[in-house]
Amino acid sequence: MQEVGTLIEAAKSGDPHAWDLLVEKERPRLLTYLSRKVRTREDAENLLQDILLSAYRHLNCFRGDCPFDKWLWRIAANACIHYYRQSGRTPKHISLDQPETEALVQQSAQENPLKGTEERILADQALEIARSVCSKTELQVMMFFYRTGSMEEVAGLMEMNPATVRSHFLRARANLLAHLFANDPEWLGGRDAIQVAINQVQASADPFTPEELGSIDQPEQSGKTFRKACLKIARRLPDLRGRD
Amino acid sequence: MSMFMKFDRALSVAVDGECLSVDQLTELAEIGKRTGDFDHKITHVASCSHCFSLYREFRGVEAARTEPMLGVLRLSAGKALEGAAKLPIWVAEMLQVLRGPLPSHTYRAAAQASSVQLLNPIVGNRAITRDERTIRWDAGGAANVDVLIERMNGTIQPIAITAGNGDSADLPDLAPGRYRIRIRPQADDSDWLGSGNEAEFCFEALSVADSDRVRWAHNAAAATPVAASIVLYNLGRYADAVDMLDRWPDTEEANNWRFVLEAAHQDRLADPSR
Repeated sequence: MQEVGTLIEAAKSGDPHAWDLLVEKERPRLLTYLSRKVRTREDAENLLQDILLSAYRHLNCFRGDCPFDKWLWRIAANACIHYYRQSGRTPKHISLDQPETEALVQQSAQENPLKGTEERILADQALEIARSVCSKTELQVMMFFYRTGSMEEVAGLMEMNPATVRSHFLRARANLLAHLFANDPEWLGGRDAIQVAINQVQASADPFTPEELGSIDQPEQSGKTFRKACLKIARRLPDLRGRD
Repeated sequence: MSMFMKFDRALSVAVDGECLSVDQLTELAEIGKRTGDFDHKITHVASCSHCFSLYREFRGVEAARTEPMLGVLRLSAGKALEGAAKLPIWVAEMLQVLRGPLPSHTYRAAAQASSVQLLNPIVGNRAITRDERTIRWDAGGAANVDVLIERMNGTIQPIAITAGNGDSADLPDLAPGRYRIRIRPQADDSDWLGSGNEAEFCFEALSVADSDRVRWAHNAAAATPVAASIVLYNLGRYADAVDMLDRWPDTEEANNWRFVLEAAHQDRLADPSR
């Protein structure tokens, strides 16, 4: 079996045999999936042809930044969505030359994996910290939010109420703040940045109580009060309000 | 600028665990939290741009598939059975059967009454859902009862054997497919072959998705009884479908279909071993 990258390059150069080899593993799986999703076997077969044709025509946009099978399956899923949207009006055929498909192909091509080793090390450190102080759900909510920028969409993806998602997000932020504040303030931009955040809370309608303010100087000795103070800071952080 | 900027930037490119296969991603999108090892898988999806993108598309497929559409239930004569109703697309697809010729079911004479009765699952339903976990029987006071569950996928393969004089047992996890339940009463310990009045019941074990459809139909019974009954009929849940007939409109078309559903139910009761 030739390497996928070699086959892609050969297919891009117009080698139909290379293209057949590339898709031969996915073809039956795609057909099984489509047969489960669309009305008739005939529709599934037509849709599969359209998907493979569209993928072949857009192969030059595929830059290998994501696995080939996942790229192909995204086109297939997108084709299914078009099928449903059109099924009420034109139940038989769909065209994949839709703006959404074009955008999808471009988007797939533009995705970037981690660039450098340093970035990877920082990423692993951040993940380790997040795992140690956040619950699984809090971590999932935060990471989904990075991808979508919308609490509503995170709620849909996680089958949760948006208010619950928001609450998990805030708790994750507060837990991280409490940990980073006490152990590794450089992650937060150093003591100066923290002081700016404290000043913002003090100037707000919901300032720190004296106990909460005191806890910031001695976080190890006043766990619960300190976490409350962190939650107040988390609530005032601009990212959550600004993006959603 | 958020004080979390540095941390967010780092965490947003961290990847937790190994990539999921396409099959794992479709399963995750289709059945959500009921997926095995859900937390582990969804954490990876949240952290991995490739798996996330595909998962999001698959979720989009599920959302589009179950998106309400305007379905008008009409029979061939053109009269609306239930008026306009917002129905998921998969329901509208099942309702296509209403447009075709009436299926033929003939009332059969019931088989000779047996002293062995299957009480649960209900014999009138030819299919069982994932929620039906208990099998219960009445073996007419037999000292011992052997209960066998066999898969009928070409070769008959015993799945479980329960012995003793109880009257119920838990069903094992059944993969979607056809099964035969055999109940064999024994007069005493020496009667290991059974006394000859063994009873057989054939069932279809429904997939998770079809089990969800049965649940949908029960929830929709009040608002759209025709659609709910036809969905249940399509899935082999004849007894459930017939239970809803008293909510159907009293029109000629509806009565023709009422007869079909009742006949399918009677047919099943007459010979549950088929």
